[in-house]
Amino acid sequence: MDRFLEWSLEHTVPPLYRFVAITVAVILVGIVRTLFVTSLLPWLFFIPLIVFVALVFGRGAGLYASVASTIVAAFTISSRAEPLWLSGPQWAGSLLFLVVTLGLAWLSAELRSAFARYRNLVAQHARTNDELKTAEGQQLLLNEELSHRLKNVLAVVQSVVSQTLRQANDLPSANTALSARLVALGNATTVLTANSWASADITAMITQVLSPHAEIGSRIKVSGPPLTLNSRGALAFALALHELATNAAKYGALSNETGHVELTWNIDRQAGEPRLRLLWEEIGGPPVTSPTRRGFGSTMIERSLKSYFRGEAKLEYRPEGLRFEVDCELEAAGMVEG
Amino acid sequence: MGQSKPINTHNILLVEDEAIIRFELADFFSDAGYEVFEAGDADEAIAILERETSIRVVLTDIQLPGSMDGLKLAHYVRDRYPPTVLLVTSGAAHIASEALPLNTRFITKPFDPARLLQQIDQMTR
Repeated sequence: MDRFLEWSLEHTVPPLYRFVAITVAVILVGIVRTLFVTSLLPWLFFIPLIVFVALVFGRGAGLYASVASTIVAAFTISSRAEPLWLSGPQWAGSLLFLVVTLGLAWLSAELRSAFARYRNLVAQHARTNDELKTAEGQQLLLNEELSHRLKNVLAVVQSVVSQTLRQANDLPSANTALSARLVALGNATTVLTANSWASADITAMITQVLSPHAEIGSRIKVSGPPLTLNSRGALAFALALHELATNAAKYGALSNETGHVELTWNIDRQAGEPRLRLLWEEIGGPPVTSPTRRGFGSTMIERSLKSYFRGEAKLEYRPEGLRFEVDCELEAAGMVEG
Repeated sequence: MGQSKPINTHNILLVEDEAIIRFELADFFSDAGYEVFEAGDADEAIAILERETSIRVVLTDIQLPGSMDGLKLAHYVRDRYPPTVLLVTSGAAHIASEALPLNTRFITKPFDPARLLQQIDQMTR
């Protein structure tokens, strides 16, 4: 019966076919009852069919089968000798049969609806379970990925700390430099997290990292086309910008009232593969002298960006102002236009 | 392959795409008396290994850009240069031991460089 129910819930039989099939079945039952089974009350033989029809085809079909069965059953026992075709008890029995089978058809149809609801609930439960399992799997992957990235960031922080301590003259200056570098890393992380740690918009990164140093737009003029950095390069770029801005604020164009920095970039397509040309130019600051030794800052700015961007990175201590230039292939540097 | 040099237990190749980490490791090993070679990906590492035949220790990150990740590089090094002391590092908490080449140490990031140095000393003895 379950299979019939399953089948009927999954398939739709057109109403005409359904009612023709029920009519034929009722007539066949009537014939069988008349020809072969004379020992039972005429109506009892129809009850299984009515229940089956109501279960498989629903309420309307069940009620129709009840009425049709009552008519056919009455027909099989009718007699022309009776003035109203049936005797009084036969009329009473037929009416009772009709009432009982209508109730049975109704109940069977309700049972069918309950089965359909149960089936839906089971399917929904299975779907929910599947979704839950999928979500748990994704959560696990996400946690692993988060842990992986966190440990990589910790390794970067560990290196920044070690380099800072290694190159510091004293502990207070190491403390100051380290705090500022960690803030810069934190700012870069804010931009990266906004894009699921996959990439970072160059302008957003510049704004986030340089805003604490000077007003963007007046003391630091920024212009260039939309560009997206990959996560590894973005972190190094942020640290390099921080070092450039710190140096400018201490000794360069941001150390007086009149100097400013121009940070510009463009995409050059003339030599085959598109290339990024980025320029940090300090203007109007005090005369610049080359440092006597290379510290974390210049290493970060030059060597590190050269490595991350797989191109050229050149730091020039020109007397009129520090100049830093990056030239790299967009694709090799993991950058995307837009 | 380049001109053959005697293998020096104090020659190390660092393969790490995070330049910030690589520079610090390079400084650390230099201070510890190692001659350090640096590569940002597997292709660079292979080129250095072919040129510098005296390298005895290779420390590689698993996640590397380019044609080959750190695990593939480790297998390549083990096959091509069997006596090399191999250390593989990653931010992942663990890695299936069967994924690593024989006699390879896995180290989770971040790691203590001094302890790493001890492990390398033990492995090169």
